[in-house]
Amino acid sequence: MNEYFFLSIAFAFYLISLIPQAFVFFKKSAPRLEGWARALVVVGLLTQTAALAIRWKVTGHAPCTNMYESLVFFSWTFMIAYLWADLALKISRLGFFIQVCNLAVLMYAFSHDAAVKPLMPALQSNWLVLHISTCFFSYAAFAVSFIASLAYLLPFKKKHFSREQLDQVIYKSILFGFPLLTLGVASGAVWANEAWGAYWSWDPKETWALVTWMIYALYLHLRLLKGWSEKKLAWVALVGFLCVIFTYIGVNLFLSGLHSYA
Amino acid sequence: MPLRALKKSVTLLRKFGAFIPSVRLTAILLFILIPVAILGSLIPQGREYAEYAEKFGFKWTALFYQLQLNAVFLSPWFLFLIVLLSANILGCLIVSVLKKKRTFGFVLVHLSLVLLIAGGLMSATLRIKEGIKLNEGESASSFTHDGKTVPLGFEIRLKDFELQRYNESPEKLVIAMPETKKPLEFRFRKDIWTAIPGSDYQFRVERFVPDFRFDMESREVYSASGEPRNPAILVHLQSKAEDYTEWVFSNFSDFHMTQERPIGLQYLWAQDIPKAFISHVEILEKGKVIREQAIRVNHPLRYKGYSFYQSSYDSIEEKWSGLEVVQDPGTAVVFLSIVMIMLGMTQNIYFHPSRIKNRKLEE
Repeated sequence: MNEYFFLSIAFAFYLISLIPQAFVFFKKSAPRLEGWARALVVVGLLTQTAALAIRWKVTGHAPCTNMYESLVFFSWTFMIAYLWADLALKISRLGFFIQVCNLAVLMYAFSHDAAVKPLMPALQSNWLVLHISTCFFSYAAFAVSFIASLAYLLPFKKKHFSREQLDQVIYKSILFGFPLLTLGVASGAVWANEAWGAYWSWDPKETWALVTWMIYALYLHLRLLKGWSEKKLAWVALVGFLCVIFTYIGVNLFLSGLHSYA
Repeated sequence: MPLRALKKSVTLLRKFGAFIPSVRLTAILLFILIPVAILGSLIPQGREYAEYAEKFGFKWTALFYQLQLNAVFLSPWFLFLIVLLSANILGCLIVSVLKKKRTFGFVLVHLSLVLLIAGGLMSATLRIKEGIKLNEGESASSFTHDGKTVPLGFEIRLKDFELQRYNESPEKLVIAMPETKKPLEFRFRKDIWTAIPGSDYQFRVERFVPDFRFDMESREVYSASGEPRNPAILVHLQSKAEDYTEWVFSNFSDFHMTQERPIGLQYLWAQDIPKAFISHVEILEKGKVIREQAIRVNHPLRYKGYSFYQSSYDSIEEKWSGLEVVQDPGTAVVFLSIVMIMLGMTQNIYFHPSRIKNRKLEE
């Protein structure tokens, strides 16, 4: 049983979890189905954890050094963030949409080269785990806020979602992810200082991480201002996550820089 | 009339003074800084005029230079915005501490942001970052910065440069001469002539293509991708009687063999992935060795306020190493602000007294 076996099992569990999650979305109250959906996601998460652990053992380094590994790792953090949000913020109805996105992330990961490649010198650092994991946990929290903001902006019926609850999900997910993003950027700066002799080089990846950080800082400050409706704030959260996607994937595709291996 | 104008300007100044420590200004500044940073990432920074002209045309290039978008993060107007932002944060901090009860975390986060900007400005103005190139056995006691020689106050000597590879069996060219029974194996480097023992032949590898393709129209060789799917090398063989080049393929070892040219060539491809670039150096003072250290990526050498980083190397003979000398008084300030911001955020967001109270009430 190798990494791909466990990953396929995880994918299958996530896929099956869509059935109870779809029922949860359409039914007014379905605590039993919620429990089933949660259990399937937990089993999927555990098998995905096993897949990541095997990959770590085989490669000898944290499994987040190329696009395939990082996407699988992001999917893992996304599921943890979803379970946290489900338990802490009671957002079972969003589960269906979160799971669809997660499956899309995994399918995108499968389209990349999964071959194990040796670690280049710049990535041989203890900062790798802290930098990557904090960034991806923050991205996962922002992904939850993105889906909640989409649900807020789309014309769903009141019985599906309460606007106040969605606003709270957006706000609390961002509040949870913001310090993690800060730590991710800060640890990246310390690492860059160790590797290249400069903690900040205005490299496109760094600049876009700062842009993302500023948008979420803007979101948190706009909440304090009068005249900023929940709808407008949902738009800011949505734009914030589009920046996350560009920082993560777009920069690698369109802009070259110090992070060109990412 | 002048009195009225003076009163008006005093009122305006007061209004502006009241506007500085406001969240509204923070939002406005962020609304300006976000697109500016995006522009700075989309327009390549610090390039030559000709490069911009070729890429964007003269009209756009002139506009970039006029608005300083070619070096936006160092432009005076960007620095002004940053200074204004730090004044705004500091003002907000003072006002909110005086008017309302604020958590220690809130104070720490906002104070650290001011410190971060101060550290960044210190780095931008005071940082020294220069390269020095040392041959094995060579030493340096100074470096050039802004056209001036800066003494280090000590000597740094490169004892040895070491390039470690993941693959211990590197790529080879196997040559079978008609008169010798056993083929000869050669490790090679591009564009270097190597004599073939027992003959008057010599060879050199002139080109490497990872994914060989031949364009029938232009009759030119090109690589279909960067992946080593069909690795091939162009070998130049020379003797008194002959002088010719031929492509040798790793995947098709017999492809090139012809009766007219009885020399057999085989290319054993192996991926050459560097594992570590290591400069073994010594620090000397008054001729005495004070310290020995191996400088590698992620492991710089720090001595008397200077940091030395591995930055480049001699890829042909592995005889010299390029080091970067860095002195940056802003780094310590920035790192202090990082510690402060993380402590402050953790307290203000995860352990905020009112949020803990709300959580307890919910439970």
